[in-house]
Amino acid sequence: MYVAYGHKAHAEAAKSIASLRKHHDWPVLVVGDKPVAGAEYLDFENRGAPGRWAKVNLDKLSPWDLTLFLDADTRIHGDLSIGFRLLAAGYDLVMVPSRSQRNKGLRHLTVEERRVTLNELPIDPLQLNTGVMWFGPGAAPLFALWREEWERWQDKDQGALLRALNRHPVTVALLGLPYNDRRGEIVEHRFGACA
Amino acid sequence: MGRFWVKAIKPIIRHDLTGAYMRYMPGDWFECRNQERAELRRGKFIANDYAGIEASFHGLDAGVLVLGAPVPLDLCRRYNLEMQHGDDFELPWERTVLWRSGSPFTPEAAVLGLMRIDAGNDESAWEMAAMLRSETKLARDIGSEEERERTLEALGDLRLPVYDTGVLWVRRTETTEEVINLWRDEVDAGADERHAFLRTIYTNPVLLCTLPADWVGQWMRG
Repeated sequence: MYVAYGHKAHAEAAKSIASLRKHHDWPVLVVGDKPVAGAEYLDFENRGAPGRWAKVNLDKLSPWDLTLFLDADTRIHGDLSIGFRLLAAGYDLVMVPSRSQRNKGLRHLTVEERRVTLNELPIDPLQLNTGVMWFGPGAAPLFALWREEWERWQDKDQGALLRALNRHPVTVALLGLPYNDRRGEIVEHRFGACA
Repeated sequence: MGRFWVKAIKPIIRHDLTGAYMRYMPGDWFECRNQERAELRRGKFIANDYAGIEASFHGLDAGVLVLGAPVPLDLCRRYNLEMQHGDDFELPWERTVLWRSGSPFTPEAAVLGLMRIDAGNDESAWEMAAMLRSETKLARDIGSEEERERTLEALGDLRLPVYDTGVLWVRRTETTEEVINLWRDEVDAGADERHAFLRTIYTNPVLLCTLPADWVGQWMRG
């Protein structure tokens, strides 16, 4: 699944889907405001920071039991099936930690959201990058809380996810940076290309 | 000279000896020495440090199982946290810290980790907590070729983050007892602790709260 609102995001999603097609023939759904070639399309309202409301609704929008979400500004350079294998083994969510941790993390949030988030969470949480995620039905309670937490600022999604995960943990399997990084050998993430 | 872990409650800019600066926002934690802490306190830039931990931790049915070389068993007295030596991975308490002596450890880290896995009345709470060994090190970077092959065969990929198995926080549940037993069996049979841990947790989903590498608890010193 992809989320794409606006011209830049559509172009990025098309490139990402083309790169995915070199490795997998999985069905692809784009949620947004306009169809993208080579994928099914689902129109969905855009609220708050662009694309974020769709992202926190992925569990409800996905037509599949097991889903992989990719940010539009990703490029796929290898096999992504490990995430589905981990979901099949019983994990609810498969993600990659952010490269920025501790005081360098969550800097993209507003000062107020960052301050409140750090106050509400236990000391020094692991920060997770929401640009690549595999999720199964067990993640539904987390998504429900993610929506609740996102509604508080209707801005970025990463702080809201950490607050939701703190309220209702689910089983999270972590993959290494090769699966979601600026220089990722499997998923190259061109952060901000859609902005 | 003592070093303290403190929490910013106002924006703070700190400089290092090279003149480089780091800006800390409310909610950030950082380590500082006595004199700087006193100055920050005077300006009301930081919250107080350990008092909150003591006030919010209850050590009922919780303790530290020390594996490896003996250590003084009164290290965690300040928090009324029991300690005992053990020969193998087991869970003597409802919440156990498994500490391989020699690995970085402080009483504050032990307590903060135990608070993460405290279920209270919430069955959905984390069952285990563990730090990453580093944010960039992968399973393909550690252990013998044989261990890597075993992990690859079991999990299908070696691009997995590596956990620091020197300190683990474990709440006793059916799942964690199974995980600890499986891990122990592999290690007792001669397997690399870190690879065996990966093979165990990735095939037995557990509510594992992953902590960043060099989690703050490591650095807390009174």
